[in-house]
Amino acid sequence: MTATPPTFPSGSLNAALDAFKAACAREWPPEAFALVNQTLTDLAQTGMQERALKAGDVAPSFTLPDQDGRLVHSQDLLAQGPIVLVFYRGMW
Amino acid sequence: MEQAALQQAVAVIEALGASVVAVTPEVRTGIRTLPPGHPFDTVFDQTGLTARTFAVVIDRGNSVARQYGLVHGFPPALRALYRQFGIDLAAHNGDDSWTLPLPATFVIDQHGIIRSADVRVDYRNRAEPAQTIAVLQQLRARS
Repeated sequence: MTATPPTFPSGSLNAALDAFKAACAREWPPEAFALVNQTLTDLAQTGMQERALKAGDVAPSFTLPDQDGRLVHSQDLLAQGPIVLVFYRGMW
Repeated sequence: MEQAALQQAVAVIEALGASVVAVTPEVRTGIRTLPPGHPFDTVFDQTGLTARTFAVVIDRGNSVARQYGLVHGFPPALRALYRQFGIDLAAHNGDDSWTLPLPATFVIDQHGIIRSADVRVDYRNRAEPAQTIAVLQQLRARS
């Protein structure tokens, strides 16, 4: 049941992710894969993606701790240059 | 995979004068909790965990993600499936809200304005690092 992710050539993260998704479709229990897909369809229909902040909006500033408890201040980083801010679910 | 891809791209991003900050609600970052052979095991590859040189910050309760409009909940059936797969979000995130951010990548310019926003409903795809780099190159060309 374990789908093996392909190694991705640099610059093509989504090609690798698509391949992994296809492997999941083959190898997971069909009802589990269908449930995940249905949930994503429902989520898309809420329109929340369109309500998220977008280009031109003011970015809310933040102060958050890193894994060692050190505080990271967005304002400090912006004084140095742009920020690439990446939200992700977790590494579980 | 995304974290590993970011690690591959971080040198180029930093050469463009920018910094990378990864934000997660996961409190227990860096702790492997899935047994080998678990259906979700392989996609969360460990490359990023051990080798990330960029900032990874913990957004407990998704409070910052909420300000960016990214937070969503889980229907009961999906919670049950995750539990069946051995994933207890309450334990991972240190709160029992069972909420997650949509995966999203924002490029924020030095004036604090969002210059690009890549927000994904389907968490199985992510912003392409090459696109992010292209935005930074345009920013730099204009400044």
